[in-house]
Amino acid sequence: MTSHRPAAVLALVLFLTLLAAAAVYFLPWPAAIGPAQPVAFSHRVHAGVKQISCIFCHPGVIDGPHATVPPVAKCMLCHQKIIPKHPEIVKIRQAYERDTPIAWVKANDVPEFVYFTHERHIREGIDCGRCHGNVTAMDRLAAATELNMGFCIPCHRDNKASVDCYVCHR
Amino acid sequence: MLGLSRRAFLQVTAGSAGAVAASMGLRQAGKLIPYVVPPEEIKPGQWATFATTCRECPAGCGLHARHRDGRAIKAEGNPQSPVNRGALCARGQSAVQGLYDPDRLRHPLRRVHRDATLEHAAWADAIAAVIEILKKPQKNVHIVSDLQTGALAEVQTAFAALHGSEPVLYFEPCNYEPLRDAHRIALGLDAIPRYRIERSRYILSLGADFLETWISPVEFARGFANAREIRPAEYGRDPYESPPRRPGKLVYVGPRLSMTAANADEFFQCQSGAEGWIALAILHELLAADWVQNQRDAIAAAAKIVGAEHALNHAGLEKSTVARLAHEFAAARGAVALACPTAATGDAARWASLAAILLNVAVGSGGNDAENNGVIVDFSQPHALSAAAKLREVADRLASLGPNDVVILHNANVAFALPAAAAGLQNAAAVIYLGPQLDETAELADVVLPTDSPLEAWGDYEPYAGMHSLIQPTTARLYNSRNAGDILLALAQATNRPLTPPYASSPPEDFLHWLRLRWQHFHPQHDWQDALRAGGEFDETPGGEMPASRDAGVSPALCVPLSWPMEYSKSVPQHSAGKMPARHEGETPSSREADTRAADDHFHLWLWPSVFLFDGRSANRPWLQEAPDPTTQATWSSWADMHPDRAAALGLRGGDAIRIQLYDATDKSAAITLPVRITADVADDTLAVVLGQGHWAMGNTARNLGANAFRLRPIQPTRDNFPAVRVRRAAGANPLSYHPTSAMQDQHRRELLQWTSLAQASADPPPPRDDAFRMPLPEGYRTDAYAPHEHRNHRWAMAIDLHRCVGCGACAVACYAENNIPVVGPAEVDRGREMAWLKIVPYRSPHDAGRLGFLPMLCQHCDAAPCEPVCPVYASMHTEEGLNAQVYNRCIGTRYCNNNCPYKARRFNWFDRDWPESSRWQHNPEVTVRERGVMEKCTFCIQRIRHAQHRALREDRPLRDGEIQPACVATCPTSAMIFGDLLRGDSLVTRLFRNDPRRYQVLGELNTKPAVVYLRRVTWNA
Repeated sequence: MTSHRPAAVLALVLFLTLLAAAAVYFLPWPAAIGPAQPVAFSHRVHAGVKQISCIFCHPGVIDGPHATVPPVAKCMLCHQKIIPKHPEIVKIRQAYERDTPIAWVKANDVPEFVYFTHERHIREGIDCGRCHGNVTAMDRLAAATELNMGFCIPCHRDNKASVDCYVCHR
Repeated sequence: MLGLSRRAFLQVTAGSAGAVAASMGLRQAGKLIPYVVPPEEIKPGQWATFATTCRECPAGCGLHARHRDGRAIKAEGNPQSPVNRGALCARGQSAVQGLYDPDRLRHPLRRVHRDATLEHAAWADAIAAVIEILKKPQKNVHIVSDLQTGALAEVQTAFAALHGSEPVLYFEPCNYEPLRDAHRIALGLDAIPRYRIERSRYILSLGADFLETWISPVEFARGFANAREIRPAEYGRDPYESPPRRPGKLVYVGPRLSMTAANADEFFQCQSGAEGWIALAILHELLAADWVQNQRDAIAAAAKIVGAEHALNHAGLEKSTVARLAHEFAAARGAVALACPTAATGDAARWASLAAILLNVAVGSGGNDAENNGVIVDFSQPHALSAAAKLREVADRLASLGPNDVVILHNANVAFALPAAAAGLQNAAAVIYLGPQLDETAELADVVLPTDSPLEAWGDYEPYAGMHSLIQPTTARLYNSRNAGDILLALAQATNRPLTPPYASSPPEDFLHWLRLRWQHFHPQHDWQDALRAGGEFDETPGGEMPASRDAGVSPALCVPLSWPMEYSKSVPQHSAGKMPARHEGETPSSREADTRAADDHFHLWLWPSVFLFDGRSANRPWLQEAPDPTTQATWSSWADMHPDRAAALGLRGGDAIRIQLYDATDKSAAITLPVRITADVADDTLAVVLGQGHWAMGNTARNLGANAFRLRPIQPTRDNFPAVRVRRAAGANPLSYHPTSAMQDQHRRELLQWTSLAQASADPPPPRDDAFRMPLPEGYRTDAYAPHEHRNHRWAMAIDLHRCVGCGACAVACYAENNIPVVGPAEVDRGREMAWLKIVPYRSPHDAGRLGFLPMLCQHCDAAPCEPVCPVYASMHTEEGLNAQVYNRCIGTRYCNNNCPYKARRFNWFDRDWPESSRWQHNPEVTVRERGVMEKCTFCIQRIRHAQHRALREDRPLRDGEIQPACVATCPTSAMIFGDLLRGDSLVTRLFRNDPRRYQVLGELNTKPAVVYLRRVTWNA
């Protein structure tokens, strides 16, 4: 019987550890985890549990290029009454009282040479989830898709929308 | 091959580069920072428009500032303003660059004592220091300001009165005082009238550059183009004017081929100062032929000052030419003579202005016109410039300063524009400067208080009496500046003597309150919000007339006897005693004349403000510095023009440095060194020098470029338009302040810019179409190897009327502003690397050396574009709406497209630009900022096309013809450019492309099928 070879054991342990790490990393999680935000806002709670319409907080999609992130005042509209003592809500109230905006971290982004307009897509009746995924399951919002031409062009083709360069690039 | 698609190949090869880039963390997560409490009516990512007034010159055009996400991005003309009707000149376009100027003052400055340097100070300390100064027992507080009207003028006047002082002086370096003097002498009206150029049918300009800088150039350029319109009425572009019965004519008399002169149908190059004599010779001819319609006796008496023969001798024109001009002037029914070069102060300009007034009275352009075109010279609406101080007054006031005087200077750069007088400031007890920049005068001050940019301030301006234009903030203050009105009100308040307007009972709390009280007083029925939205109360509906001008049907009576400036009439201009026939149509003076003054170093100076830099106040704007001068194509330049014969006699070659000093100078410091440009565009007795450069303070852009020619303008009015100067070769290195983008005005028979005769242009029926014309549509493909492009819904195209284009360069600067085009600086311009997407190239008429045509050259958006097939990465693409697109994110910078472009309309980014932080705030967020290694060019302002399409979609309607206006089209003072859709049968461009007898395509013979059609320039002698 051969003696234990420490090197082999070490390699095996390392392999298993990596496997476990990979398993954890690639495990089909209920939803992706996006970047950390200054306030622990949960889309799952607001859009999922409370069933608040996307447009309530992002009215820009109806008549503008940007979806727009709600101003602090809008958060306070509800949270003056709802769980005002919650530590995360306290952060919002402080921001409101100190007149300092909250710097949210972008989860979805397109390069600067791309000119995307929400309004046109919403007018065509495209569901928000088509690009943004199932936000009702996301606590920390993450990009559901890579917003690149490989994603945009097939959809434009299928819907007989223009695929001209100047539609998105200028 | 491996069956690898192009896309897959690129993806694979890009992988390695991508891995490197990713490891360096090129892209950082952006932040989304919403408002705490959002402002009303301003939506993120959407345009808002604020109506205000342009304060870049005394013309006071209405301005629309386009605002986006808290920042004023782009200046446009206000269509409701009767001054500019939606157009804007290059200087107006640069207003936003003035707002974001990195050299603006950010906080107050003060000197602890006279010899100390200016130091940073808090507002409270600076104001306290000023109050300290004002509290001392002074005799006088003097206010010298740039031209102000309305509420700020009231505050200034009240403040001056508070300190028992003399009246406020409004200092304008170009104040047209000879013209005002002439009006006072001849008509008893000390004013600058409103010139209704659009009503004229014949303009005789005596050195007045009314298309570039003279009084109200945007207004005049529009009127000029409308008065000369030759397109049939159904093509009439300008909704405010009906097309004239017959096209008008411009005759220009002067020593230098200015932009205005180059647009004249006839240019008579005369010796400096001969303009007035030519006018008098014409007047004598009118009298002799009995063509004087009004006040004949008074005119005859006034004209007696010189005999007809004498005038003709000085004029230097053939008698037959004078007779012809006189006949044309009398027969035109709507003739007007304009006099006084913009920067002139001398007696020759006074003389010419008087002669012009007599001519105007003679044919009734001030009223009494037989055919009743309406008043052209309208004194019922005097211009704001009528309130400007004489240079003499300003100089005297500054010279009188003593230890008991305090001077408050508001935006008045006397040290630069009146350098001889600025020394007086040192004797004053204290100098307080209010202005947005640390200019030459501010550097002499004891306390410098930063004021708002006009785009940040409240205020008003009255360009013409009764026309109340409002100024409102278009963006929040960038720096720690204040409104000049508020500063004065605060100072008065702090000394416990608050100011109250004459129409209020109690002192207003701030300047805005004052402004609103004033508005309520003058327009009690007019809502303030509505007025702000409109930009003011203009009292004029499109196409209508001001009520006041209808009453002024009678021209003012001439003063009898007319007191001419006798000193001038007695003496004869040095070189113009009939020796030199005025040159015309490419003649050159005989060698005998050149010999007689071989070693003569004596010249008449001719100072002209540049169309871009004006009197130097806008010299710190990179766009304006890099904009090529209309006639010379010079950028970042400061130079002197000299006639070839004189240069040869002095042994000078082009680019040599010359030292210019006053002829009778006792003060040797009044001398400047400049490179000489040798050209027959100036008369041989004249040395023409551009104004506006030579700043030694103000900002990093303006500083140390060329020389300040205001040094050569004495305070005392000279006998000629400008003083006589002496020229010699300068020792030392050449000043290197001349950077033309291209010196070529000859087309080498390529016929890029084409001319046609009036008869052909207005032929009825139109002459048969030329066969070389190819529509940029499938029908234009006849013998082509490639299949035509099919267009989806639209085929965008542009028509450019070369007869309307005056070459002012507003479009080129608007393009810089709209499309984030970088400025490269003089060294790169010398290498031919300027980035202009649109340039206006002047070409000389083959028929008439005294006339230029201006060819706006931009990407032609060819249907068979040579740039497209040569691009290896499909970065140069034909879009489905016919545009030739440059896709920046694909471009790898081979520059093949540029090589293959016959129009040279493409520009390559050789460097990444180092944008100053504040100038990035001006960037149009709808246009990509290009980086190094990328080709770029005109997009027909695709962002504006998309915007209009989007708006139409939102409003559920089709696009309207003319709704889309690229930046160049929108700003053009003469509406020379027309944009539209060739797939629409009824669009104006379609009609011009298909039917206009003047249409042609530049280099159309190359079968590129350009989507820009040019309408030939019309000449009277082709």
